[in-house]
Amino acid sequence: MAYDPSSTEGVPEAGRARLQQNRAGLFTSDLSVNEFLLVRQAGFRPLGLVIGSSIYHIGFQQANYRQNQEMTVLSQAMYHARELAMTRMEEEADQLGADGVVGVRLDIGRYEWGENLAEFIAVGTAVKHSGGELHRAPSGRPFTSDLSGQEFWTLLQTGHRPVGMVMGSCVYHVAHQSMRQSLRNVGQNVELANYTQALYDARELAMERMQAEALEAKAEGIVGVDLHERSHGWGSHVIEFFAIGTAIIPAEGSEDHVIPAPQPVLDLS
Amino acid sequence: MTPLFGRSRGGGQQQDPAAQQAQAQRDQESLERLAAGRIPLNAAERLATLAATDPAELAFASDLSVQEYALLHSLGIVPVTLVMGSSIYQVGWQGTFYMVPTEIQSLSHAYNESRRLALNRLLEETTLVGADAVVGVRIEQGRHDFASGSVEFVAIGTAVRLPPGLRNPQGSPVLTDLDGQQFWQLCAAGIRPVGIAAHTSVHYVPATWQTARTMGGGMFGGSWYNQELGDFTQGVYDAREKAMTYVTQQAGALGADGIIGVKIDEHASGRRVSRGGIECDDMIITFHVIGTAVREEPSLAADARVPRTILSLA
Repeated sequence: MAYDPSSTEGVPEAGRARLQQNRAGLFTSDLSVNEFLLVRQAGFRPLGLVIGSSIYHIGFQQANYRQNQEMTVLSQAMYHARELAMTRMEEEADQLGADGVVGVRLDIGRYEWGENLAEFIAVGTAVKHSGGELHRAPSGRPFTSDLSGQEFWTLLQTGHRPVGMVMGSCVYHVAHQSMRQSLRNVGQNVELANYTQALYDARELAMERMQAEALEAKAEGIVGVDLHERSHGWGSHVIEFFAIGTAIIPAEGSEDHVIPAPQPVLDLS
Repeated sequence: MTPLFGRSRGGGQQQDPAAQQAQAQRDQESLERLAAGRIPLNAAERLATLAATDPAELAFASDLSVQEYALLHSLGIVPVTLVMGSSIYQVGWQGTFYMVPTEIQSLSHAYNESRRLALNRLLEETTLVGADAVVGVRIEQGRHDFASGSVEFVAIGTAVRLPPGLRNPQGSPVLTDLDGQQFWQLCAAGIRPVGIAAHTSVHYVPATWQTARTMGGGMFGGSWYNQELGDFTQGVYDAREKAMTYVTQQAGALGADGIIGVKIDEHASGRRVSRGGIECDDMIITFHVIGTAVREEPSLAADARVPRTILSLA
């Protein structure tokens, strides 16, 4: 999906009115009180809750029973649907004139009634720097970050700023063991090399794709990476490995930045 | 009358007919008050007694934690009592089968009215005890086996008296779902919580022919290709934007600059239908949105507090 900052495609009448209200000054945000105060302290003000979603039909691919392999159709689906949701969210943020989106959550909803159907939803709070410092990503799009308000504040203290969420996904079919292999291993302590190999492979593919996205965004590094594996109802041998994190770059003029030393406290609660 | 019957009524004494009649009259009066969207008699009396008690001798009830109480105490915020409001609402009948995406008005209305009644009753209780605010309002959805097809909202919080500086200039009590710490933190930063904004919308989205084919109707099974289901995505957008817009309007009506802590609760369910010989699922999507409306008031701000990086050793 091509990025179009002026697109309100699919946003119904009520939604345009809402964005208009947000532009007029009334903000909405899902930040908690602490997060809200810290984001303000960091010099940003919230503009509005921005959301992108997509309900997606995931295609079908026949896996080879005895073979470790990536399920490219499924990987593609997970990528494409997330991209749709994220892009729509960024477009909404752009409509509000935001510098970026903090506290992004990327969820997948599966419903028992719709086989092969999943809802992808991205939600976050669009923010803008009050001082007018431009904090957009080098690509010109609003930055995105899944860091909480507290983490966002702390990150800025270190002289870095987020450029965008980067992710990598790989849906992988783990081969079944053959009868001969199972029999050979009966009662023994032995590494199941083909399983290990499969999980390694899938995880590396997901990580590599995430890093590739970060390189493309000209990031210095990725913080807060979350790597998890989930099966989205494709049976026990088909697993999605998903890596997601926030790519960061050094903030302008932060070459001689000093990170304040943390002060230890003892919590009495 | 068997002894068993008597026991369940507490001791087997015959009740005085006059007392029985008085009780019946009270019950009737309570019902009338409820019908008018107010709180029942027993609650009103309990709160009136509390309001008449000298604050120094008041034994308060609250669901505050120890830390919260200590903090509130040091700020001059005095808890008064636990207040609540609830409402069980019957969902009117409406045929849930549409050919075009539609809001299911009866459901949306039931959710919103039930929530509004519960919050109003909470507000009435608060006014009765002479409190200035309710902190830590929890709004919960109840479900009872004896009342199927109905929705219930219960709102519970701790009514507190505020020091004059923090009171709402408009005079009416302020409801907030913030806990004591958050309430104070906001005030110290020059931001005043002004109320709760919430809305629910329920939409019915019929599957288009193309979606029905993709999802696996007919003899060929589901499609092998990845694709977005545009009609369902659009349905989700419609329901969400309707809810968000109402919430924004409510916040505007409360005189707020913004809403923080917005919580979105989304639920989609399917309804199996047969359309043009194809079995498919239509979607019913429910969106609950709730948040705390706030307004900037720089005059409230205490001394500027700069956060420090700390390392918790606990």
